[in-house]
Amino acid sequence: MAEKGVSIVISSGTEEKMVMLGVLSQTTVNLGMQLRIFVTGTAIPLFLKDGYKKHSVVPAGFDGFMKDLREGLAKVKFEGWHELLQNCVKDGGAKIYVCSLMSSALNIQKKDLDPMVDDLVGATSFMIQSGESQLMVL
Amino acid sequence: MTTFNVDSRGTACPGPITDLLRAYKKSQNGDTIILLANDPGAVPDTKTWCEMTKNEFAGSKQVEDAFEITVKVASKKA
Repeated sequence: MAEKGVSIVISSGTEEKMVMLGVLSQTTVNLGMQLRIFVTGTAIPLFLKDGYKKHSVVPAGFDGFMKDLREGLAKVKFEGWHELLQNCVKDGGAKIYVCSLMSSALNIQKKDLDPMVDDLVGATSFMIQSGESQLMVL
Repeated sequence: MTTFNVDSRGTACPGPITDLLRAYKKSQNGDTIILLANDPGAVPDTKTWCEMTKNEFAGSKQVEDAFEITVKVASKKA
């Protein structure tokens, strides 16, 4: 049975999107709502084992902006998207799924993924589980 | 009745609410949480959170470079 909450599709792994993902995820859990995240597209490499430790992807044309943002986030003690998501899984029961289609295409298996990822699922499973949840696409 | 003092100065969204919730989890009805924050969203976010969770937003005031936000815990289940 689907439970109301927030479902987020993260389809791009650029640095500013990952910040947004972390903030929206932590806020969802803070509000006591069920969170589901569907990882697809160019966000997938960040959800491979240790993928988050690799260099972030800066959106094209925004090098200066991202440098300023990175420095500003450090000043306001932003925890980092990976840590926020880990908190969401641990404290809020958030579920993180990776797109099965792209995983198949890229020969990625469950064992290759970050331990906080719950499973590889298809769009059908994600949509049914999301039910009447708010859906956000990043 | 316990007063929880939460210093969230220097953190930004969603840090103050995350810190508030950590105190809230330890609290009981009748307790007070005083949140110090300088994120500009802290006051409206706390107000909205109180409305949603049926806790009491008891006010906010500017103290030097921060907001002092007072929440009365009212909706914890026994």
